Amino acid sequence: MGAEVILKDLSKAYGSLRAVREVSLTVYDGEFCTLLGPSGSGKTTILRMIAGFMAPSSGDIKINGTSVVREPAFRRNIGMVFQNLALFPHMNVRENIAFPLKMRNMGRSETRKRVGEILELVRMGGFEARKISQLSGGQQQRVALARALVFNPPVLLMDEPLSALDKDLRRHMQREVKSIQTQLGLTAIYVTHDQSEALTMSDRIAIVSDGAIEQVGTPRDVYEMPVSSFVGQFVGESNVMIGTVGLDTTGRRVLEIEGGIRIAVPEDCDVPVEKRARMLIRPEKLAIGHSQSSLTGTKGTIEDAVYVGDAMEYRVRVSSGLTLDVKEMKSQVYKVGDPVYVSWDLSASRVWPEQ
Amino acid sequence: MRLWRTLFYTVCGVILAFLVAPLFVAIPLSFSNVSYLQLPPEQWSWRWYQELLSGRQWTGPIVTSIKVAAVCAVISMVLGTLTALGLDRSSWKGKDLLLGLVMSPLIVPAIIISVAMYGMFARTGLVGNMLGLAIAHSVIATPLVFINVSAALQSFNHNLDQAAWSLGANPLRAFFYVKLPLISPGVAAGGALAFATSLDEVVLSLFLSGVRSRTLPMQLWDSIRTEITPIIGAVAVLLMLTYAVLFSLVEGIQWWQNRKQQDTTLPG
Repeated sequence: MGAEVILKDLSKAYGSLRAVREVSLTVYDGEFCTLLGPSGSGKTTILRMIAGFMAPSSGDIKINGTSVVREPAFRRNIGMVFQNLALFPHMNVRENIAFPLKMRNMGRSETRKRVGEILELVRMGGFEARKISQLSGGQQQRVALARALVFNPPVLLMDEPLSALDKDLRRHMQREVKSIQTQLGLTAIYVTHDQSEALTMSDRIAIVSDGAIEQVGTPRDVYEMPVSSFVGQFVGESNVMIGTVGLDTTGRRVLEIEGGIRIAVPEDCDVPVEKRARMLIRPEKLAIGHSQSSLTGTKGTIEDAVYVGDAMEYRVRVSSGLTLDVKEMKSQVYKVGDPVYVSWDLSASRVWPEQ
Repeated sequence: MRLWRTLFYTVCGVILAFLVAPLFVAIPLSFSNVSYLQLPPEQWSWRWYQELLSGRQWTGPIVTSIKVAAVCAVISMVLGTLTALGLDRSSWKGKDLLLGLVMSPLIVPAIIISVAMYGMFARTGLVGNMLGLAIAHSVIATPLVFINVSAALQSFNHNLDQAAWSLGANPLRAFFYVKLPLISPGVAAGGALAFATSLDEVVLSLFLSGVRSRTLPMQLWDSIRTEITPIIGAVAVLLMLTYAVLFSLVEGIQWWQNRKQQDTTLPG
């Protein structure tokens, strides 16, 4: 069982600094929603306002239809996993996990039963009497998660909980956190600056920049159809080309970039002629060949070729100031120095006006 | 280089001996069996210790001193801890002013505090009783607790507070279950220092105590002025032992605190 969380025009100002600006977001019952943004973008501030550690300057937070902004943190019944986990160092595993139950005046046998169950859920059965300092990073992570879940909160907040773990363990825990969340039907709000983590775990991602939400959508939406160049560059890898919009001999609009190179822009591009524009295209949308294979492309020379197991990653020098990164799954391998054509489907690129 | 270092240690050693050695003279003195100061004593005995602990003349002040020091430690621990908590991570404008006020008893000469307090205590009936004395001692002991608790709070992970709240603990319960246990070494170290300070205090006591609240340092003072016997040595030895125990305690507590705080940080 989860709960619906609604943020409405939520703002937080520190003097003249506006850390969060009129954020509105609905997180559905049972959904895993990630707030993704660079550090300092205000995502953690949003989370802390939901948790109740910080009062919003204006706006409202509703959980299952009831406004909670006037409720102190200890009455909100929201689970939270902190970035540094915030396990109580003077308590052992059992005492840490039993803490929220003790605060709810739960009886001894019921407490024992629940602590046992939740430890089984996070696969830490038998660790009850361990001290926190005797646990590994991953085990501490599980205890922190168990402590935030043991009192059956409908909403679970997580503030970069996996950032202290090494890569393999982090991947493993991502799956585990996600599976526990699905199993319990919790509404989860997850904060991270790691775009790959956001893409793998989330039902929906809200991209936060400069205190405001740039885009909300499924991982596929934000990856395939970024609404701004910020989103396109922040989520996933992107080649960036900046130039001025002009017309070619047939009257089609093109992007004129440095070195006299002209690149066709997609039909739906709404940047007027003679304005500066920024074009983004994903490395895996580019193809390399000895001749031009798609509608649009440009000449270049292979500058760097790296074998990454499942693919080849090339860097192609197009002009003195521009290289394009290409990721190819094909078996044909090009060598450094090979003259090639880089081509792509016109619709694979996206263009925004350049400020 | 080596010569200089040897010279340096020698000079330091001599100065240290000069300052500290007289303290140890009290030990052989106290075990003499004659009623004047004799060094080294011709015959060793427990005579002066027996005398010290048998008559009311000394046991009364000893008990008074311990009582006053204990009450003073409790008052200072409460006040010092509350002040440290209030000022910790505060961005209040008057913070520096209040900080100065709290710390001022460490700088202002005791004699001035005594005169000021005498005037006020005389009006409220606190002169001449143990409670008044304990309160007066707390004024100079509270800053010591404040310093120790503030240091403990420096290394306290403030996310733990928020974690406790998010788990359903109201601020009061969060304090007693989470923060207090973690800063308790600082509180205890401060308390031990407060106890030691009160035990040693003589200027305030001279002004504010009456017949029924004579403390040990006052008795010592009177005794030195009227008749010098080796009993003074015995008192000195007892006091030195007490301080040795107290300060080992403080050291032990600090070691314990360091271990505790290490646990607060994540590995990796």
